[in-house]
Amino acid sequence: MTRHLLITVGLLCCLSSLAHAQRDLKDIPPPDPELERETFILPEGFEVNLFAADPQIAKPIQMNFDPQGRLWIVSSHTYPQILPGDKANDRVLILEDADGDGVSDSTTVFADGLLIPTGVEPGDGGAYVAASTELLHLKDTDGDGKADTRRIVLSGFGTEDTHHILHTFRWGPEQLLYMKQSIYIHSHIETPWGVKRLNAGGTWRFRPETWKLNVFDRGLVNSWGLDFDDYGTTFATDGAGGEGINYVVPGASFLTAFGAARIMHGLNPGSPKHCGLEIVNGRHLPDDWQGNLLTNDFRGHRVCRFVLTEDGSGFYSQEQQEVIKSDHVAFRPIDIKMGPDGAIYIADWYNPIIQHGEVDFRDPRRDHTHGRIWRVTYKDNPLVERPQLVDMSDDELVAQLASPERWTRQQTKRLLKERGPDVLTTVKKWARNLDNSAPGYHQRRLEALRVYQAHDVVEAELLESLLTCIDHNARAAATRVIGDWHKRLDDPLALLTPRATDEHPRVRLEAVRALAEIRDPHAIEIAMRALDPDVPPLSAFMTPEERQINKPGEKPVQVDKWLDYALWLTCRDLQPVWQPALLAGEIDFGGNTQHLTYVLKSAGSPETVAVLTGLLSEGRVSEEQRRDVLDVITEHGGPSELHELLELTTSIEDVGPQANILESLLRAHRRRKVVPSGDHRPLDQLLTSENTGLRGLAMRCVGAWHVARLWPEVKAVVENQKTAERERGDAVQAVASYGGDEAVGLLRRLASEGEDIALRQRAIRSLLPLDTNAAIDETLSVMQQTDDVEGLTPLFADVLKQKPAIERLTATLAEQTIPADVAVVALRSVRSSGQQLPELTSALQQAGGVTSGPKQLSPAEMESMIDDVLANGDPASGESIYRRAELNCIKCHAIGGAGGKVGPDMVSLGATAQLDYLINALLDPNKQVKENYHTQIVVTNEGQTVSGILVRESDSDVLLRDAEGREISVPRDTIDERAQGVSLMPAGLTDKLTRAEMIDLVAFLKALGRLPEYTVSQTPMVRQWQVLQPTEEAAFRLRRVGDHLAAGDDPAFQWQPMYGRVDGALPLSQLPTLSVGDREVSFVRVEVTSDQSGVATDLSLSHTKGLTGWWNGEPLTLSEKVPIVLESGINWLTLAVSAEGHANELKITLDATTPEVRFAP
Amino acid sequence: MTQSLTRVVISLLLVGCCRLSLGADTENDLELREGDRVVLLGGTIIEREQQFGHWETFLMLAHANQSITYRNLGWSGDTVWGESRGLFEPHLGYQRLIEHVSAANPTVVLVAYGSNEAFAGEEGLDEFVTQYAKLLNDLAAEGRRFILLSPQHLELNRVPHDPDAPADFVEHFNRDVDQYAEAIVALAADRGHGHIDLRSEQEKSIKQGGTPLTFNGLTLTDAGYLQTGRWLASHFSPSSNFDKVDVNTPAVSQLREAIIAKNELFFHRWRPQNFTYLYSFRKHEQGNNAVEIPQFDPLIKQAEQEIARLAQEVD
Repeated sequence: MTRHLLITVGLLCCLSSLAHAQRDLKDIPPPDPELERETFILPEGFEVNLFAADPQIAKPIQMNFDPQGRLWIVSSHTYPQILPGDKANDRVLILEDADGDGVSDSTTVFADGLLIPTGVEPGDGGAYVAASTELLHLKDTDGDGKADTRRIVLSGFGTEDTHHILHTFRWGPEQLLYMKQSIYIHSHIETPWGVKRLNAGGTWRFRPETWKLNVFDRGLVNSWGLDFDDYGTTFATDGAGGEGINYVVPGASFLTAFGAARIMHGLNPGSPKHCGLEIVNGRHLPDDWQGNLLTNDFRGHRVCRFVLTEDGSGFYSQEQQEVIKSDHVAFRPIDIKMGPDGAIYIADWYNPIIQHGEVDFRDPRRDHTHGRIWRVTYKDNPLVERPQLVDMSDDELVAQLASPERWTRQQTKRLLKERGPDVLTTVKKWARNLDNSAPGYHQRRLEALRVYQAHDVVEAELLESLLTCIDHNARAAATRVIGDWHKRLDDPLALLTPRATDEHPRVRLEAVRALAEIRDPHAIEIAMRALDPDVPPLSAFMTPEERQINKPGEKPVQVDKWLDYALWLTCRDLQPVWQPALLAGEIDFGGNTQHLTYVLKSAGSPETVAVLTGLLSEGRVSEEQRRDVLDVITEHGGPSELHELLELTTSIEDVGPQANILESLLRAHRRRKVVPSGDHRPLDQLLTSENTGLRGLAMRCVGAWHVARLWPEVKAVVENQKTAERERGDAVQAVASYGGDEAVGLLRRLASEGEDIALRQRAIRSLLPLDTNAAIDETLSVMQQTDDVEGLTPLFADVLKQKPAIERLTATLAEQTIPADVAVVALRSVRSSGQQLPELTSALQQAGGVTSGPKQLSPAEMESMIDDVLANGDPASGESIYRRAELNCIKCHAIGGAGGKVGPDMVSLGATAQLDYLINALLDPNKQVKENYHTQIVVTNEGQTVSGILVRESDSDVLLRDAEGREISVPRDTIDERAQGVSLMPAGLTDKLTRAEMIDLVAFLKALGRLPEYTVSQTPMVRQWQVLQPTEEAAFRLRRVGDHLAAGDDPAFQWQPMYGRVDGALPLSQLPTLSVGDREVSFVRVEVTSDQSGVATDLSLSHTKGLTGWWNGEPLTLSEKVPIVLESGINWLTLAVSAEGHANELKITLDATTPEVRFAP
Repeated sequence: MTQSLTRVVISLLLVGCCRLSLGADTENDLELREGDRVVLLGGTIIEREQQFGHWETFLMLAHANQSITYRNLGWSGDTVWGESRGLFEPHLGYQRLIEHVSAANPTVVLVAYGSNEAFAGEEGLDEFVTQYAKLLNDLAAEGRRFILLSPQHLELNRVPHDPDAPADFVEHFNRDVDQYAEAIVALAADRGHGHIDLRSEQEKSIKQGGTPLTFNGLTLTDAGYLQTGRWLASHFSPSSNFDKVDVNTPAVSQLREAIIAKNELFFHRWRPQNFTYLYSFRKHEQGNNAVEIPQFDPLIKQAEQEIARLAQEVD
C-alpha cells in the first residue's frame, strides 16, 4: 500500500470527479436543469439554453419538427416494460415556441394511451407514430390540437427488446418515410403487395399513400441515427456498435445483418456508441460547421461532431471537439435536430440509468419523470428568421426550395407533397427559370426532382439533365433515382451506362446499385464496366457549356472498398437474372475476362464454378483475383474442378501459388469432404519438392484423400527421427487423416515414446478422435511432465472440442495430481471454449490444488471495495496492470479500436458503467454480458465443438471469433447443434491480482472515457504498433546485414502488434530487445496509409532520443516534426530503439489537415 | 374471369351442399357451446381484431347466455408454416405456433390462414394445402373443433394506385385468392370441419356500393371489422339479424371496450415485449422480471368476469 501513499494525495482532485460519477449508485443528482446546464462545456462562441423541461415533458425518445416549426416528441413513462395492472399511457407531445425566444411556451398532449412509442414524424395532417408492434397515423380532425382518429398503418413489428423496436423516423429527401429497427427485432408486415419481412436490424423505406414498403439497408446493432446530406447521400449511427459514422450504400448490409455474406464497416472504428444523427447547416452556424454530422455519445454524456471529406467512392470521417461535453451522470443526449431558427436542438432523455438488458427493469434508480430539450446557438451569427411556410402561396413556397437551410427545404417539400401533384407545374416552371450560373444551381434542380419523386411522377427531362451535369453529387443523386423510376423510363440501361464509368467513383457506385433494380441480364454487364479504370471523355455526355469548363478525366478511377462492395452486392442481387443468361450464352461481357471473373467469384455458385475453373486453367485470371477465385472453387467445386486445380500445379513454377492451391484443396476436403477425381498424380512430384512447406501440404493431401500409392512415403517421413520437426508435424496430421489400424498404431507410438514433447502433443491431438482413451492417458502424462506449460494450450483446445475426450479427462484426473500451473492453463482453456464444464473444472482444480472461478461479494464487501476504489484507486497503476500480458486484457479488448476484437471496445466504459457493475464484471464475467458478446457453441456433425462470439451468419456459414481473436467459419450444413454459451471472458482473472491491484484496475476502467487523460484523443495518433519479435534468426540476420534490414520485408522477421496506452504513448521499456553484437536494441514499425500518391505531411514525434528511423525502407532524419511524402497504399515508418531510448515513452501524431493519410486503426 | 366466376359460384354451391348434406355435423361445428374456449388464429386480420373487438362482440351476441371465452393468437404476416413466430429461431416458428395454441387450451380453433400464402400463386397451392392439413393434424386434440375461415379478396377499388404495379395486379391476386379459398373449402369438407367464407358477402357489399371495408384493399377498417363481424355472427346464428344491432348503445359499446381491454391484457401475457430478456438468450440477465408476466392471469380473469357481466346487460 505504501507505494500508493504519494499518489493518493495527488489523486484527491480527480477523486472528486470519481465520486461525482459515483453518486448515481446511491445518490441521484438533484434534477434542477440549471445544475445540469452548468456542467456543459461547449466550443468557443457557442451557448446552450433550456428549451423545455419536466414537468412539461418527460423522457423524450424521438423528436421531429413540423412545417409550422412546432416540435413533436414521443415520450414514455412505461419503458422498459409495462407493469401488470398499469395502463400504458405514454404520450405524443407538441412543443411550441410561439414568440420565437428560443424557449417553448406551450406543450400540448397530442395523444396518450400509447405503449412505449419510439418514433414520431409529423405529416399528412397528423403524425406517424411508432407504437410497439404498429405504425400508427394519428390525426386531429376537429382542430382542438388533440388526435381524434387513430389509424393502424402497418402492423407486425417485433418487440423482442423495447429499445430496439420500430424507431428513428425521418422523411427522406424524396419524402418517403424511413424507419429503423434493431438487432433483436423480427418484423412481418402485410401489405397489399405482399408480406414484407425483416429479421434483425435495418431501415424500412415506406410510401404511406401506396403502402409500398421496402428494406433500404440491413444490420447495425441498435441504430438510432439516420440522415441524408444535401444530395441525399445517406449516413447512419449505431447506439450499440462502435464504428462511428456509417456511410450507407443502398441495399448494403452492416454488422449483425441477418444472413449477410459480406458487410460494410463504419468510418470511425473504435468509436463509442452514438444515438441520433443530424447533418447540420444554415446561416446561423459558422462556416466550418456546414455539413458536419452531429450525434450523441449518450454514455459519455457528450454531443459529438464529425467532419466528412470525400474519399474515393466513400468518405473519410474525423471527429472534432464536442458540441457539448458534460460529466453530469443523468445527461443523456439521444436525439438531435436542426430547428426552424437555425439553432441545434438536443433531446436529453435524462436518466442515471440507461439500458434494461444489464440493469433491472425495476431498478429504483431508473428515472421515469424527467427530460429536457436543450438548444445550442452560435453567438456571432444572428438566428435564421423562422419561415412561415404554411401560409405561403405555391409560388412562394416553391421558391423556398432554394433556401440555404436544409430544414426549410425539407419542410417545403413536405408541404408541396401534401398540397398534391398540382404543385408540379409551379415546380417545373421554377426549375426552368433558375439562374444556371448561380452557385448551387444543380442542387436546387435536384430539390425540384425530389418533389416529383415525392409525388411519384416521372420527370425524365429534369432527371437526364441532372445525370449529365457538372456536379458529381447531383449526378450521384440522380443516378439513384433511376433505380426508383426504371420501370417508367424509356431506356434506363442507356441512362446508367455512362454513369457506370463516370469520372467520379461515387456516381459509379450509385449506378452499380441502381442497376441491381433492373432485372435485365445486360444490367450486370454494364455494372461491371465500373471496374474499368479509364474515364471516357466527359464531352460525350456533357452540355456544351459544361464541356468548356470541364476537362476530360485525367486520373484513372480506382475500385475502392465501397465500390467493390457495391459491385459484389449487385452481382449477388442480380444473380437469378444473369446466371441463367450467362449459362445460356445470352451475355458474354464482351469477352472481358476480368468482368466475367469478378461476377463469377462474387456469385460463388456451384453452377458457375466450372467456367471459373476453366478461366483459371487457361491462365486468364489476374493475380489480384486469383485468391478469390480459388476460394470460390474451394467452396463450390466438384471432384472434376478440384482435379483441374490439382493438375494446374504441374504447369506453374512458383511455390507460392502451388501452396495456395493445395491449401484450397485441403480446405475443400475439410469443409465439404470433396476429393479431386483421378489418381492425383501431381502429388508424386510435389512430395519431392525442395520446399518443406509444400511437401508438408502434399503429405496432408495424401492423408486426406487416402492415396494408398503414396502412403509409404508419408510413413517413412514420420518414422525418420531425423526429419525436421515441422515436416514431421505435417506427416503426423497426414497419418491421422489417412486413418486405419496402421495409422492409429503409428500415432499411439509417437504419442507415447520418448519423443520430444512438441511432437508427442501433435500425435496426441491427432489421436484424440481415433483412440480417445489412449490419447487422454498420454495427455495426462504430458501434463505431468512438460516444462512448457503455455505450450499445452493447443492440446487442451483440441481436447475441449470433443465430448468423449472431456469426459475421459475428467475421469482420469481423479486421484491424480498435476502441477498447479498446468491446472491454471487448462482452466483458462476451459473458459476460452465458452463451455460450462463444472465437472472438468473441479477435477482440474482438485488435481492442481488451485481454486478459481467466479466470486460474489456480499453487499458489505461490495461497498467496502467501492469505497476503497474511490479512496485509493490509482488509474495509472491500473493501466499498467491492464497491460500485463498474463491478464490478456488487451488481447481481447480494444480501447478506441486499439486492441483485440474478441470483447467489447471499452473506449467509454468508465463514463457508462457503475463501479458495482465493473467489479462484478471482473469477478463474474457471466453475470451481465454485453449485447453480441455471448458465445455461440456449435457442435458439428463430426462431433467437433466450436465456440466463439458470433461475428456474422450467412446463408451458408456461421462465422465465429474465438478467444484468440481468430475468425472461424463453420458451414451451416455441418452444424448439428447450436447453443448459447457464456462470456469468453475468463472468470478467476482476478485471482492473479492483489486486492490493491484489483482496486487500481477498477479505477482505471472507471476512468476510461471519463477522465480526460484516459479518453482517446481525436488527434490522429499511432495506437497500434508492430514490434519485432526477438528470435534467434532475426538477431542473427541483423548482426550479419545491419539494422536497416528491419525496415525491409525480410520474411525471417516476425512482427507482433502492440498497443499504446490510452493517451497514445508507447512505453519503450516494455519492448522486447534483441542482442545485436553488444547492443540491446528493439524495433517497432508503424503502418501509414494514404489514398493518393505524393501527399506530403508531417509526423510529430514526442521525442527522438535513441531512435533511428526509416521511411519505406529509406533512412529518415528524425526530428520532432518529420516531413514525409506518402505513396498510395501502405507506407512504413520503422524505428530502431537503442538502450538510451528505452527509458522514454513515444507518441507519434499526424497532422490532421491531410485526411487522406491515416494510421492503422 | 368467367372461369373463375364459375369457380366462385361452384364453391358457394359447395358450401351450401356441405351444409345441407353433412347436416347436423357441420351445423354443430358452426355453433359455439357452453364453456367453449375459442382461439382465433391467423395473421393481421386476426391480430388487429383484438383492438377492434367487433368479431368477438358479435360472436358473444350470437351466443347469448353462454359462457364462452376467446383468445386471440393472431400474428401479422403469419402463415400455416408459423413464419412470423420464429423470432430468433426462424425454424421454430411452426413449433411455437402449436405451443401457443396448446397453451390456450381451446375447444374451438377459428383458423384464418391463406391470405399471405396466396401471394405464392398457383405454384404454391399444393404446398399450402399439404401444410394446412399438417397444421390441423398437429393442432388436433380430444374434443377440439376447427372452423376454417377463407381469405378475402383484395377490395378492388380500395387498393392504392401504384404506377409500377401491373394493371391487373388485383384481379390476378384475387384469382389466386379464389384458388386458395376453394382449397380451404375442400379441406374443411374433407375433414368435416366447419367453414366460413366471407367472399360472397364481401362481393355483394362492394357491388351494392356499401361502406368500404378496408384501408388499402387488404387491412380492415373499423367499419370493415364491424361489417365482417356481423357476417361472421350470422353464420353461427342464421336466424338473427345482426344488421339491426346498434353497436353504439352503451351496453354494446361497454361490452366491446371490456373485450378490447381483456385482449390487451392477454396480449401482454402471451406476447410480452422484451422476449429476449424475459425468455430467450439473455434471460440470465433480466429473466427474473418474467415473474411479472403470469401476474396478468388474474387480471385477465377479472376482465372476463366483467365481460360476462356486461354481456348479461346487453340481453
